[in-house]
Amino acid sequence: MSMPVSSSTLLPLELVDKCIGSRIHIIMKNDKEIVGTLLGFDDFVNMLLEDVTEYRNYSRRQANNKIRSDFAQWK
Amino acid sequence: MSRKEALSSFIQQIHARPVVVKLNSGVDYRGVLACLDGYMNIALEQTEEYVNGQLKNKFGDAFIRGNNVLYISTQKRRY
Repeated sequence: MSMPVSSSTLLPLELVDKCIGSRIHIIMKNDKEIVGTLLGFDDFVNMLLEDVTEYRNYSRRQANNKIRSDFAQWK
Repeated sequence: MSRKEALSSFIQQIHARPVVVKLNSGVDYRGVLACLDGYMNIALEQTEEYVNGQLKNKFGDAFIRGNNVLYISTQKRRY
């Protein structure tokens, strides 16, 4: 049984689709972050990016703080 | 939707061109893209292996198993 999708709900991949043409941050499993302009993606969510910067050693503490502060806004 | 054709046209464009292939381990391989399949298995020619940005090895031909690949990027200049 599949959930009915109302027009107000946005599927996760629809959100990614809306990001095509925009600068996006991709946060990797390993404290790495990639920033670039999304040109497209496929069924595996392989992504094609343009004008890319790769950040290594993106501090986990910094990332945690960011998520917590975002979460606080939702409460 | 999702602009899948953007990926396929990129793959066509980079064929026989100099590319950088970065693996999940962080090691870079620079060379001319000879072959690429749906698993992202890659065959490179005139391959140079860079560990921590330093040239460590040169290979005439190299095969990279697709599961190791983080990204494939175009390369402006040859080293």
